[in-house]
Amino acid sequence: MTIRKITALLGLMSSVSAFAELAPMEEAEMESVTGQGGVYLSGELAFNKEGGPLWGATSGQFDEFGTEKQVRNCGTVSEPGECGIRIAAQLDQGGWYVLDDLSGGFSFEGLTLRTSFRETALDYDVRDASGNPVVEAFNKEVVEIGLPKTVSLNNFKFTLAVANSGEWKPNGTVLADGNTFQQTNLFGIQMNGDITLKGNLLLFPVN
Amino acid sequence: MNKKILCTFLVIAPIFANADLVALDDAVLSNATGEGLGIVLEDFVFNVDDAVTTVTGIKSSSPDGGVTDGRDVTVDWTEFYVMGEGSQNGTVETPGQIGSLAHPWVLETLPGSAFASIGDDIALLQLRSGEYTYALENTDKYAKWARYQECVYGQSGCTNANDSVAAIDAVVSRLTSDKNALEGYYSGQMVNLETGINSDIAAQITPQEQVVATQQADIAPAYDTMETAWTASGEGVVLGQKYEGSDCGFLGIGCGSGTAKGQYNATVDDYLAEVDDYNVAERELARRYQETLDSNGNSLIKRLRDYESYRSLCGDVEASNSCANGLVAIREGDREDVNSVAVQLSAGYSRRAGLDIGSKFKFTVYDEDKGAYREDFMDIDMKGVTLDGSYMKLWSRDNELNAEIRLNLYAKELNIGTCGSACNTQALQDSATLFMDNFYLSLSLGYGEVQPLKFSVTADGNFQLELSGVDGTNYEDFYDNAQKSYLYVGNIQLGNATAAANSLGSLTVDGLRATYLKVTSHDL
Repeated sequence: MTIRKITALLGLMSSVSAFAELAPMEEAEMESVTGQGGVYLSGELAFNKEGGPLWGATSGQFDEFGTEKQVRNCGTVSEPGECGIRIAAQLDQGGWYVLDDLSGGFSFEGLTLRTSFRETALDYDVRDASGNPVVEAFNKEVVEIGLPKTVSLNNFKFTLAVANSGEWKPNGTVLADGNTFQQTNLFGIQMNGDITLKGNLLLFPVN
Repeated sequence: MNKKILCTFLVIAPIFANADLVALDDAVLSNATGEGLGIVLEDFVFNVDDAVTTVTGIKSSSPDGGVTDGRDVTVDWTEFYVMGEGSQNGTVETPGQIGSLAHPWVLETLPGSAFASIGDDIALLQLRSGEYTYALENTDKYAKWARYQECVYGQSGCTNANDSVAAIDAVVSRLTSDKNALEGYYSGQMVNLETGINSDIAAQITPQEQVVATQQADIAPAYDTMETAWTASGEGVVLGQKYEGSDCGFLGIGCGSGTAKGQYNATVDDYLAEVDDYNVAERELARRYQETLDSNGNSLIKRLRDYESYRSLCGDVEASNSCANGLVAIREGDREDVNSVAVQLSAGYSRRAGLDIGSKFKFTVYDEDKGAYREDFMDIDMKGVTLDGSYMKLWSRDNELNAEIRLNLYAKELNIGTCGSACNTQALQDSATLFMDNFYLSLSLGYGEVQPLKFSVTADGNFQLELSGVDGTNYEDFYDNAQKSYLYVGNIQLGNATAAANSLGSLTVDGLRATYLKVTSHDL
């Protein structure tokens, strides 16, 4: 399998770096740095844009070993489409929960990850004389995940389903237990465009 | 194969800023007990804006040109937002708070022993929303207040928080006067009423019910005999009618005792006699209900009615007439909560802002009558939503995923519109909208291991949700302790929200519990 093939199959990923000018810090400035810099993430994820190694949308497609891929069409008859990733989990001895045909991409800029020290918290269960919630001491370090403001979706889609086999099989395949392969698609979601996602997600231990 | 798996993975290359790691000292370490993870979303805004979301895989029941599959229903999810209260249906970006530092959502693992209804040998995972004890902030108490207030507090004509207290006082006073009237009528001797009824039922009703059952059982064989004889007689008359006059020939010889017609006529008499006996027995039973009197001349049927009313008002019947478990006590308890909220609101205290949540869908459905596709719309907007007191517990027993869920959802307003772009004025939009004020749903599904909520996938690949397990051994625990579900809507209005004539009044579904529920999907 050549590198070229791998890149063709893999989702593309590029991170955005912002290179600011570097300047030396004064001793006094250094002392005030407490090591709470945090992480700034930007990224673009793409799943199975070019189709995976197991299935082809049309017949006559071969994998890297020269074996013909199974035909699985996630588009329409007139416009065949490659299928996305399939993730299946069996939570009991019965059938499988399936996240199927996960494909497309999304990108975001400015997801921040840092810790912050919160000194106070509003306690809504206790009121002061004028009826406002009192400010109580909190004094805890919390993990603060800053949401990225905008997430761009590029043909991002998935299908939620339940099935009696973890692996996908063509229609009518008889399984080891004698049942015919059956998958019930609950619903599918397909998204395109920019969505707004703002705010801070705070995580901290509670007693 | 490894290569194949590799191909489905993706690579992330984030930029790291390495922060210093500082060792935790003993004091800090001893504080971290790791019992749960607090989760708070601060200044949260989620909005799909111009992004186009399509829901697929939903099919209509109309046949697709002879193929058994239905036609695809295209669902365009054109609007979906979660933001702070006051967003004007998601048009003004308003930060919302989900949980707060002092009242976070909590994800925790707990031993089964933390709950009476769950075995000590397992651990469970729980996600619960923030909890508030202050009446004004507690969604369950506030929703109770809102249900009696009916209107949305702060809107025009809805400024006196004590209206709800007056409303629940009226309810409590009506129930109390019903209870007092019953106690007065029977001179406070409610236990005697119960024993009197029981002894009358044992002496008068039960024996007569046995007579009725015996007489009723005699009817079917008599009917069968009659039907057999009717067939043998040549079915010359309608079944149940006798052969008479010309049917019986000269001098009635054809219906003589030895003839088939004569035998059939005799079975008709027997059958009618059995029906008659049964009617007599039923009338006697009714007479006994009416005429079995106590020493004050009260009929059994009246006493039974009064007894049932008293049981629902007071729960148990006991010598002290404490009336501790019935509707009177429940509404008096509610009155406390309603009053606490009213006092806090009247003092000018305010409740924390909730969330605005909304979605708009466009369905493109094939209309068989028109032979073309048509577009249906649904626009749901919830304003001032709070969710505290909700939880979800998950655990595994015998390799099955079990759950117990409680969802408390209060919305100041819940509006469902069904008109799309054709309704381009506010008046037109209002005319096609269902307005619900003070909507409160408290949905409880499952009760520990007595009645776990089970999600599973069947061997033929269908989704299944089951709520079962209540039987003869555990029903008392279930009825005494399992959470009930409630649905309150203070005011339901169809069309223009300001026209009083459009109000459909309020809706209450009180104390609902499912003893058995099973939902299975089927592939069409």
